[in-house]
Amino acid sequence: MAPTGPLGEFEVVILMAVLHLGQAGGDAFGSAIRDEIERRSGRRVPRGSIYVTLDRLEEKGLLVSKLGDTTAGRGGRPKRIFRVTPGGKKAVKHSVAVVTRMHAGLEPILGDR
Amino acid sequence: MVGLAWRVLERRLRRYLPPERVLPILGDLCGDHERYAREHGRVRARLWLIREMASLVAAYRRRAPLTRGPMDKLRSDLIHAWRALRARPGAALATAGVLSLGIGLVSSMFALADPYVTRALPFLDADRLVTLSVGTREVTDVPTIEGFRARTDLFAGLAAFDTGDAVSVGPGGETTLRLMQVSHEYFQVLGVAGPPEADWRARPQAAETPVVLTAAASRRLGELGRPGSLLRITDAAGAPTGRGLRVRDTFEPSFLFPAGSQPWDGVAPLPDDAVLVAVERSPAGLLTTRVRLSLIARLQPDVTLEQVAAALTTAPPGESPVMPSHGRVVTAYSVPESMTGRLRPLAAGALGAGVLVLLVCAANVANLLIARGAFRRRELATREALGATAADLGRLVLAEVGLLAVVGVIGGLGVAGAVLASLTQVIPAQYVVLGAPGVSMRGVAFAALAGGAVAAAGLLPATAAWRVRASALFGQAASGEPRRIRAARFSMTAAQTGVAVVLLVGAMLMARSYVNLLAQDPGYAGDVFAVGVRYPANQADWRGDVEATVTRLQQIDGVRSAGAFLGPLVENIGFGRAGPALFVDRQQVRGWINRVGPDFFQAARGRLTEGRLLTAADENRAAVVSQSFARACCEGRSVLGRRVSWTERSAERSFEIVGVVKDVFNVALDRAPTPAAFIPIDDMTRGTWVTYVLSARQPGLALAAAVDREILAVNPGAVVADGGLMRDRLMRSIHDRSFATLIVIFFGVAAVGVSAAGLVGVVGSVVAKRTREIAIRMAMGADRADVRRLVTREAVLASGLGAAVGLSAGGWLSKAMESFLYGVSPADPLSMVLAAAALMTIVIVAAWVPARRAMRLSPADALRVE
Repeated sequence: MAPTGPLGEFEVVILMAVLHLGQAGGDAFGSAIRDEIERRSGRRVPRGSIYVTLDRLEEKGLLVSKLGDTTAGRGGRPKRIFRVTPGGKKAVKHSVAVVTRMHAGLEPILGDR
Repeated sequence: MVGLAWRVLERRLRRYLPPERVLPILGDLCGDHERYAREHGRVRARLWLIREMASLVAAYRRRAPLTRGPMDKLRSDLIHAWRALRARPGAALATAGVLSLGIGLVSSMFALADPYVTRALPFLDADRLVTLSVGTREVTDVPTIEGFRARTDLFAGLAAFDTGDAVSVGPGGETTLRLMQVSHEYFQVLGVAGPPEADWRARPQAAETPVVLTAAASRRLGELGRPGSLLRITDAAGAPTGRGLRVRDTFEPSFLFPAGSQPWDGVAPLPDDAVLVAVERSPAGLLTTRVRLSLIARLQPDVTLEQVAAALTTAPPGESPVMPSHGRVVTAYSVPESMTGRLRPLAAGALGAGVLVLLVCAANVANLLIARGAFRRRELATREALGATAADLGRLVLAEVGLLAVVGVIGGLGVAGAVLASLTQVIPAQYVVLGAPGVSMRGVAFAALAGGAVAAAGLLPATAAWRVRASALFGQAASGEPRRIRAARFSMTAAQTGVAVVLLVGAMLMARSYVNLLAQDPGYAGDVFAVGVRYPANQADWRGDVEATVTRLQQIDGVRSAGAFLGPLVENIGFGRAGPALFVDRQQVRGWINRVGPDFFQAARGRLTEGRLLTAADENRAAVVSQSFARACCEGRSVLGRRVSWTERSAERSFEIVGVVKDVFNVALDRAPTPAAFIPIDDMTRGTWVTYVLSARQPGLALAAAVDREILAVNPGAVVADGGLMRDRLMRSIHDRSFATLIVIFFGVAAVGVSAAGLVGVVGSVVAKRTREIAIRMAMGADRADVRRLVTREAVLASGLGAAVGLSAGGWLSKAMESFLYGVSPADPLSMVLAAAALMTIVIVAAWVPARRAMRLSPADALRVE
């Protein structure tokens, strides 16, 4: 497993999208993850970036994947379904905590309250 | 198109990811594309798909690719090239076929020309080898071989050889060996290993004669051909003679006999008495010389042929040494020159014609590649949009062209093999002195080189068509083709037609020249039987022998009449020297005196045009002259009754002209007869060569055998050459021309064939490319004639331009052919017009075939193509 450094924002977003899809009982595969991000963030991300990042997260050991069954409408090609590892969950928590801690005290400046 | 995009994408992704990662990505994209198409329609979905694909490729391009060796790349490029070729098999086959034909033709000519043009003879310092021919008029100055050997200032080595005989060997005499007799120095002069000198001394009484066999003869004899074995000599009936040949050694397979084109099987010792250019005293006290012995010598460095001839020729005081009236003449011939000299121009010409055909092929291949490129512009644009670099696309194109070239080279070697096999049937003997032509390793290398050159030359003009433009992605405009592509195609079509016209002009000139040759009246009947005989020089009753022989020949069963002609008749041997000056009524006439035996014209069925023929009573009295002689001396006046006179051996001769005959071709069918006066053989006659002619009911093998028998019955020392019909002799005398004509016509036809095939391809591709435009035009009311004009205009215009340029170039280039032409000027307008007309007819037919397809299109079907 590659050593886990600090996560980038996009990596955290992807890990969270996988967690959301898992929580909802759906398959977390490339297109679904991309749609989930768009639905929740309103941001359309390039397809290539999704796959490249998924690969990187898997290399870091924060995600694992398995090949699903072939389904109709995909030209007979299987899905690659992702799951967040415990290390991945810890990394998300850590990243969110860092952001929360850094955010603390900035509310008046940022006009959040 | 979309299918191709999927394949390209998959291939790109596989550079960076293992297949199990690639498939889910493609599956996701496929699913999203389906959904997008449902929501936004197919057309927008297509653009969306390309954008998404580009995004995928762009994201991965920044990553290090999976390790992929050059062999993997080559393999995948070749697979792609193969698929691309298979997608349009007709065009691929046309290109490979044109390449095969061109490479095959030029390679076969290379095989033919290579030994004569580019390679040195397989002798040590071949340039210093000469053969010497010694002629003596009188017996007062007969040289001996010792005399020649003493001239160490001229010769580094000198050997004698003689044609020898054929011997039958083996238990039943089933194998015939033709052995050349050579003195021991022969091996040293040629620079090849030979047996020890003591072994080579011929002992006439010995039961065993040593021989050295050629590798081919040794192979043919099997066990018996090995060094050390004894070959028993048998007589004509197959009975052993008690004598044998001991095989001393075999020559290397590359060994060649340096003189003559005879298929010798080996060499045997030359008897010592023959090594002398001997002077014998006959019982009657007359001197007899044997001067037919041939010598081969290795010159000292820096000694020239002329120096040798001048140093050894003797002339009486005050006379020119070039051709003394008596004394000795030595002529030296360079061995390389006599083996390859006369063949080199034809070999080089054939190779040149082959290269021209190759040029036609290159232009053709360029055109076919332009057509392929035009069809694949969208594919290449797609590949580029999906991230293919210029290097990737270049490699892909090169792999495709390379694959075509390889197929072309393999096919070309097959074509060359077939061409050479058929040429072997018609090739004159003198073209195989350096071995029968075949496809060698050098030939294969040459074919590969030619293939590479043609493919490269074809690719250059086609680059315009293969240049990628993003606009190619989106449909095609009605006109369809950029101007650069049209210009490239137009110039290639014009160029190939031009070169084809040049070859066709050559072929027409050669054909006309050949027809002129065959249409000539040789002055005698073709079915006359003739045989050349050489008598020993200075023999006592030479004239009596000739007359006795003619009488005996006339008595052979089935012979209507027999006659004799002094000298060679249609042996392709001319006389280099001038004869005595002839005068008619004090006016000098350029011409020859020919001596003929009784009944020569009757036997040869010569054509009398005026007066009468010679009779036995005309000796020293009357002459008949040829038509050209009559014209030369007395244009417009009758020649009969005038006297022809000359000085011969200090004696004044004067003969009354009693008849005029048609000109007699006595050297070769392509050597216009010189004006001649014919007189009966008389006592002043000197010479050793007589040609007997016979008019017979059945001139066949039985007649030849009977003629041989009668000639030898009169003089057993006579050497009788193979007899045959005059018709065959005439054809043999122009064998060189027949072969050259065949080759040039062959290339002319091949060039036209390749051109026509290329035009069919070009017009076909125009039709395919412009189907939509044609449909729109037809829908708008264009009729079939308009469509035909539309698709053939370019080809016909380009060919017309090419033909015009080709004609002027052909007129200029054909000057180089002048020596090959007979009765035709190199600028012969008829040949030019015929060549241009033939080619334009073929162009129009070739363009018509695919044009017909366009004319039959229905607008609705054509619009559906896209």
